[in-house]
Amino acid sequence: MRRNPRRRYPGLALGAMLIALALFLAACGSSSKPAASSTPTSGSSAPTKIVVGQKDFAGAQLLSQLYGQALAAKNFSVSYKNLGPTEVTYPALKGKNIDLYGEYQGTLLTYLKGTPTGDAATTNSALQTKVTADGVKASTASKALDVNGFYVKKETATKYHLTKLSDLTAVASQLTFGGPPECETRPLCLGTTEQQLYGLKFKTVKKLDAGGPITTSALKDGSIDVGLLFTGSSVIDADFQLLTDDKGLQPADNAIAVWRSGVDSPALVAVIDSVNAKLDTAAYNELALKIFNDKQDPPAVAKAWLKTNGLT
Amino acid sequence: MHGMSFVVDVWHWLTASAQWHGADGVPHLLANHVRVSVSSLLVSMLIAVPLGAWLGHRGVGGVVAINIANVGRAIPIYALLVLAVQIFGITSPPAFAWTGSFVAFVPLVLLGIPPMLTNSYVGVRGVGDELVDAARGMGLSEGEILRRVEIPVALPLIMAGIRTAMVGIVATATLASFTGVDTLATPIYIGLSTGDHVAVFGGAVLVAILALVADLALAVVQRRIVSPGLRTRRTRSSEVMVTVPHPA
Amino acid sequence: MLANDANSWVWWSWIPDHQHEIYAYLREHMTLTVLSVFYGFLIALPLAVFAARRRAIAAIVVPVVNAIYTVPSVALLALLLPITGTGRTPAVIALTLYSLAILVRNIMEGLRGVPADVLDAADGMGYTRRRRLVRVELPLALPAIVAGIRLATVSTIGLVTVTFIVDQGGLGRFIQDGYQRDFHTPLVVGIVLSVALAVVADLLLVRVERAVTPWQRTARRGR
Repeated sequence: MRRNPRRRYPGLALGAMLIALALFLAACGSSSKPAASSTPTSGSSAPTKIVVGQKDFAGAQLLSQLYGQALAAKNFSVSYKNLGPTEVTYPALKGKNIDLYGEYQGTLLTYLKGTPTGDAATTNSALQTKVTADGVKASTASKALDVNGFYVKKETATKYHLTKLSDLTAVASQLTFGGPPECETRPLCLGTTEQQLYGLKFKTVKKLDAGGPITTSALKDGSIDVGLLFTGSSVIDADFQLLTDDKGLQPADNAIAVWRSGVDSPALVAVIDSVNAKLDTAAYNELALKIFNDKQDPPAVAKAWLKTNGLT
Repeated sequence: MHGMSFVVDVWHWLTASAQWHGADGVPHLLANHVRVSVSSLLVSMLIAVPLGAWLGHRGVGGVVAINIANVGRAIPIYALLVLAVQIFGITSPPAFAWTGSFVAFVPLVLLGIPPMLTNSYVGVRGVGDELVDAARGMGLSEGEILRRVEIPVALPLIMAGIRTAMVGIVATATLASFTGVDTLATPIYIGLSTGDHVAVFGGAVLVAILALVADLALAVVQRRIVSPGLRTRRTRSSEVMVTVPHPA
Repeated sequence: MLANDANSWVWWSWIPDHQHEIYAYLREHMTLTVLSVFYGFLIALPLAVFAARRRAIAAIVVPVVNAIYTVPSVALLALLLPITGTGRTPAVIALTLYSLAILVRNIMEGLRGVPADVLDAADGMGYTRRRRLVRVELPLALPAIVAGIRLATVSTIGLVTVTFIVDQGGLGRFIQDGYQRDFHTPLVVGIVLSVALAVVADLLLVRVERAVTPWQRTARRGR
C-alpha cells in the first residue's frame, strides 16, 4: 500500500490544527461574559471601581444587583462576577477578587462560626465583630428576611392538623423529612437549637439539597412529607404550606451587603443604607416571585424596583 | 495550606471510632457508594461493550452510536439527576432497589456508556483485517469472529474504556448523596456547607481510595483475561509493516 | 401547552431577548473546552509515554490522575480560588486536571498496543528511541489517542458547567439558572447547545482522525 509522503507526520498535523484552534479561541477575548457594567450617571470625580460578586442562587443575585445598580447610579463603576455559595464567595471577598456582595447575615455569621439569634440587631453586631477580623465590613440589616421554612403539602397539613411548627412535634415520628445534607448538624435546621425548641424527631431524615429542586420535587411527589426550603428564595409550589415558626427558631437572616474595608467610604455606606431602608420582606418576596414565577431576570427586576423607589 | 496540624486532624477524623459505626459511619456510606457504582457500571458495560464491539465489527454506525451516547456525557450530570428526580421521584422503584439509588443510577449509566462504547468500537475496528479474513477463511461465523478473534485482540482498549468509565462512575456516584442515599461524598458536602475542611478532605480521601481500589481490581481482571500474547505487545499484521517509514 | 409563556418548555420570545448571552456563553463554553483538552493533551502525552514504557511509572501516574478526577469540583475550585482568583484560569486548570484521567489512560493503552515486531523492525532500521516514538508508535496509536481526545472533549463539555462558581460556566450558566428557578427555557437551550457542541466536536475529531491515518482507509474494505 502506497504511503503518501505528505502524511509523514500525522501526529504533528493533528497537533498543529489543535494549537491553531486553541490560540484562535484564546485570543478571541477573555471573559466573554456580558458583564452588566454600568457607568456612573452623576458626580464629577473619577468613579470608584467596584467588583460586585453574586452568589449562585437567584435570591442572592437579586441582592447583589440591587446594591450594585444603586452604586452605579452614584458615581461608582460597577462590574459583576458570578460565584458560588458563601464558602466560595466570602473567601473571594477576603482575597480581594471581589469588592462587595449581597449576603444574609445569619448565614454568614454561622459560616464564621458565630451564633445568630432571632434579633436582627444583635445578630448584626455579632457579625460586625467577626468580619472586622477579616478586613471586611457589613452593612446594617435590611428588614428583608430569607430563612429556613418547614413546608408540607396542603393535604398533609389537613390530615395532621398542622399550621404551626409546634404542631409537628407530636406527629413527626410518623413522617419523613428531607432537607440540606448538613441539616442535622445545623442548630437552626434539625440541630441543637431546634431540638430545644420543638424537639422534632422524624421517622426518616433524608439528605437532599439546600432548598433546591430536589427537595421541592421530593415534597411534591410525596417522597418526603416535610421539606426544608427557603422562605424567600426557593421555588415554593402553590400546593405547599409553610408551618409558622411560632417559637422563633429562625434567626434574623436579614439581607445585607458585605464589602472589604479597602473600598469602604461614607458614600458607599450611604448608598447601601438607602437600599436597605426600602428593602423589607414584602418587597423582597415580591421581587423574588417575579424572578421565580414570572421568570424575569434578576438584573431587570432590580432595575425596575430601584427606579420605582427613586434609588437610581 | 494548613500545615501539619491539618493532616493530623484529617487522620483523626478518618480513624475516629464514631466514623466506623452506625448509619453515618463509613461502612454504611461505603456500601451505598459501592452498590450504586457497581450496579451502574455493570448495566452500562452490558449495553456499551457488546454494542460498541458489534458496530466495530460491522465497521459502520459507530460514529452515530457514539454521538448518541455522548448526549449523556455532554449534559451536566447534575442536570440529568434533577431531571431524573422530577420524572421518577427520589424513591427507587422496588424493582430497582438493587441499584441503591435509581435516580442516581440512570445518569451514571449514561455517564459510563461513552468511554466503553467508543473504546470498544475503536478497539474492535482496529483489529487487523488479515486476522478477520483468516478467521473467515477458517469457516468461523461472524459472531464467532467477534467473540473469539476481535474482542480478545481489542481487549486492552476495551478494558481501558471500562476502567475510565469506572473512575468516572465512582467519582460521580456522589450524586446519590443528594437523593437521600448517603455515600462517601456525604461528609464532603456537609463539610463544605459548614466550613469543616477536615471532613471535606477526609471524605475526598475516602473516595479517592475507593477509586484506586476499584481500578486495581480491574487491573487484576485485565491481567487475567487479556491473553499473554497481547499483554506487552500484540502480534499483529504485515499490514502495519509497510507503513514504517525509512529513516533516511 | 397552548400558550407560550415562561412556564412552557421553550418560551420562544426568551431566545431573541437573550441572544447576546447565548452567543457569549457558547463561545465561552467552546473556549474552555478546547483550551482544557489541549493543555490536558500536552500534559497527558509525556506522562502516558513514560507510563507505557515502564509499569512502575504507570503504577504511580494512573492512580494519581484517577485520584484527581475524584476530587469534587467545588472543592478543587475553592482550593484554586485564593491562588488564581476567579475567571478562566481556575476553570481551565480544573478542567485540564479532570481530562487527564481519560487522556493518560487512552494514550497509554494505544502506545502499549503497538506490536513488538514493528518496534523491532524500527530498531533494526536504526531508529533512535525518539524517532521511533514520533514516526512509528504515535502514528500507530493514533486511533486510541483520538478516541481519548474525543472522550475527553465530550466529558469536558459536560463538566464546564461546574466552573460557574468561578465566574465562568459557559452554557452551564443557562443550565444552572434553569433548574434553580425551575425555568425550562434556559435549561433546554443550554442542554441542546451543549449536546450540539459535543456532536460537532466529535464529528470534527473523527474527520481529523481519518485525515491523519490514511493507512486505515483501505483497511475498511471487506468488512
